[in-house]
Amino acid sequence: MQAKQYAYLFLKFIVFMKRLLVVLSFLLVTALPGRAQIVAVQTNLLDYAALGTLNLQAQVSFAQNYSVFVDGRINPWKFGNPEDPTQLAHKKLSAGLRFWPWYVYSGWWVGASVQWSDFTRRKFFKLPDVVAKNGVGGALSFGYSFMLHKNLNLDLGAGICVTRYSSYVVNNIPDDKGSQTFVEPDFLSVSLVYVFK
Amino acid sequence: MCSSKNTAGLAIALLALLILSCGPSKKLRSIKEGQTRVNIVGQDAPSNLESAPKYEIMKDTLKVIGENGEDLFLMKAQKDEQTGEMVASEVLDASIIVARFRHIAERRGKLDIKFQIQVPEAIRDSKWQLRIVPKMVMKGDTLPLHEVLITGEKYNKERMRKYELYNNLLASILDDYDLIGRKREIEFFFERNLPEIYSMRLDSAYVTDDIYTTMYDVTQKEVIEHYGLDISKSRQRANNRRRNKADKMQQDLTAKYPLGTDSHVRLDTLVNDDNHALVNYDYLETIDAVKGLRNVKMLLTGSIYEADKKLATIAPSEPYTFYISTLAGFYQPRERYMKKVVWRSKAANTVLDIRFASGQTELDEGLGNNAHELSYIRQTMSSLLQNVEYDLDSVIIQAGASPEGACQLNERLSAGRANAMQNYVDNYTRKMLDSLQLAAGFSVDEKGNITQERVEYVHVPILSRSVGEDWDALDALVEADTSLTSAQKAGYLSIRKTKDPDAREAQMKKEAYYTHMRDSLYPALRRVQFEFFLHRKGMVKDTIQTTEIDTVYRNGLKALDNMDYTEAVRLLEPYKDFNTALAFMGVDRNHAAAEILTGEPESAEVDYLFAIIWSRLGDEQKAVQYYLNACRQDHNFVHRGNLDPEISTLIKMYNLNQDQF
Repeated sequence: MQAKQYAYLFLKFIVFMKRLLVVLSFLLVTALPGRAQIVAVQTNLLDYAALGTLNLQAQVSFAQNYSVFVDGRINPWKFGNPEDPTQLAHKKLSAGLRFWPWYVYSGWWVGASVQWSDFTRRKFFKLPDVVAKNGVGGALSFGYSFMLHKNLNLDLGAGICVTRYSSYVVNNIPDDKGSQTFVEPDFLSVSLVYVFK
Repeated sequence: MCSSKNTAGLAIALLALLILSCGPSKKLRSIKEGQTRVNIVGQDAPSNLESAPKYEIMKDTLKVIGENGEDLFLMKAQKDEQTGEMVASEVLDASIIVARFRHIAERRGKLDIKFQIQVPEAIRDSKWQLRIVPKMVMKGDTLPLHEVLITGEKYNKERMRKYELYNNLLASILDDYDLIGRKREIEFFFERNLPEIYSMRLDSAYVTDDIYTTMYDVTQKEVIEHYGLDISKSRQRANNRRRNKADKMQQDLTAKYPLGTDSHVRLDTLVNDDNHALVNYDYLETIDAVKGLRNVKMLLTGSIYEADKKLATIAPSEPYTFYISTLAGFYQPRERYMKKVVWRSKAANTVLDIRFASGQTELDEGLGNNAHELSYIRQTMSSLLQNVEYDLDSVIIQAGASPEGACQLNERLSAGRANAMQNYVDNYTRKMLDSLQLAAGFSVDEKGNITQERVEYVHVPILSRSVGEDWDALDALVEADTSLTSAQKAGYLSIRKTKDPDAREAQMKKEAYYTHMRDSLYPALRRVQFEFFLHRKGMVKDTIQTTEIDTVYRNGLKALDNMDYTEAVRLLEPYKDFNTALAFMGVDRNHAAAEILTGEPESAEVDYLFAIIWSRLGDEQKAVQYYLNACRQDHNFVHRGNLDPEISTLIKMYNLNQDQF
């Protein structure tokens, strides 16, 4: 890729991150004055394995069994030939609620969230090229959190989501159907969580 | 066919049985028969009798053949002093006598019983444990003391093995904390969410649930309950089984394999296989001295154990007797009587209500109740003059007047009235004394002879005093009066402050309560007071000895007899006599005892006690001096000296009694 493209990607990344940070800081600001919130941030290691998707999630607990979270994932990379790259780029922002049957940040959890996503798939394993935009939907997830340390958890999770894309273009053939709705797996995560204490 | 094989087999079996039964049975047999035992000896006895000096058996008779072929016996001969003949003298072999008794002295109410247990090699074996129980016989009762265990090496190995099994079983029992499934998780949870409790986890202090909860009010108990749910029922059951097994094993072990740390064991000593010597143990038992306890016998009994079975009982040893001597026996039994303090002088008083005519000082017997009152005073005087216990020293008559009328007039009146009273009583007294004097001293004996002793009746002075207007008495009456209100009483007190009595009276007349005062209170002021001063007949001192026995002293002597010295000191201390000194010596207050004894008259006992005191205080010269004085006065103290350790050491050191024997 050329330097210009790198810079453009980087800018987009920054913009994306800024949005994420706004939401995060909003959460944190509400967290700081009260003493009854535990804040945690985590990042999914599997996502990095899946073609280097950068991701960050922030959680704030406000009761023994509940926490809210905001999650952002971005995969801006283009691989291979800069003229004809392979891409599995996507952006996803989600925010939701987690329910912990025993105690926040320990043990099982189930979650529900709303999402916004975009994704572009090009030249990826003989699959058709897709440019999907403005996917809005919801997701359900569940998982288990192992406590490794006072401040560290290992979180395993899985999620399924339903997304309605406002535009779903396959192989550059404009789709006269317009929007499409999919039910698809959302994520599989093996995350390292840092719990602020 | 089978017969030869059978008989051969039988023979081999019999032989094997014989060989197997031969082994340790010889040793055991001798123990069971009582030939081998443990011995009890005094503490400074020779540890090995073989080291005692040996005496050669001397042959002192020779058989020779004489001139004529007859047998001649040649032997040592001595000349018998009485008959003048030559007599054969025999030499007896010396024998070693080991004393089976010892004298011990009671001190401070306690007896130190010291003896030595000797365990010969013949009774020990590596596979055995000897459990030796000394038995104390006191006044017919047998009391077992703490055991002494002599353990062989093989026995100890077996015992330790059994205890190791038990300890392993104990270690395998999981306690409540171990049974929790997810220990790591619970630890991290505490660290993160209950940091206060986590920081105190090594503290042994108990933390209540209520104080610390997590941020979202989850208690410690809930956390433990949540994480403990992982205990499987089967693991719990297995654990309980192990617990029960461990309990049973412990009971078994304490019964079958006693340890040196058990409460009933005095000593547990491991004797190794190559120790062929005599094993000695010095045993000390301190008991309280009891009155009438003259001796204590010690016996050794015991048994032999192999593994967990009892093999044999060791035959009881010969008894060793301790003869008890005590200092308390020196007490002087005596009774003391209570001392009472009786006062020599005595006072009595009475009040008469004599009426006088208004303005008159003459004593009118017919007026009012006067006749009765006067007869009362006459009776009183007469009885006092004839009283057996008391002598009348003097009488004081005091007359007062009520405030009615002028003050000066009242004073004259009261003086006159007092005088009149005085004259009356004086006259009566003189007449009484005269008649008594006449009648006194006459006594009649059996023959009818009348004798008269001269008895002096001393004249009794009758004194009179006049008070005048008795305002003080009126004050007292007003105060005590129940029908006057406190306002009226306060009013009266303010009037009272007026200096002039007549003015006072004028003010009072205006008051509402004046009528009441005049009618109820004034008559009481016109009384006559008598005060009699007496003393006990013939008494010079104030204290007298009663016939009541002093029980405190008696109890003190009883305590001394029972060798309860602290109680004896507490009771006898005020009396400061010989028995007190003895009590002081019992509690080692030697200087106090010496102080009292210096005041006591000299006697053998006093000297002997001094000897003991000086021996205790370290002055050997004085101690020996006093001891020899005591022996000179009473020969019994020569033998007594051996019984008290303070004196017996001096006797040994300075060879004191050699010339007495």
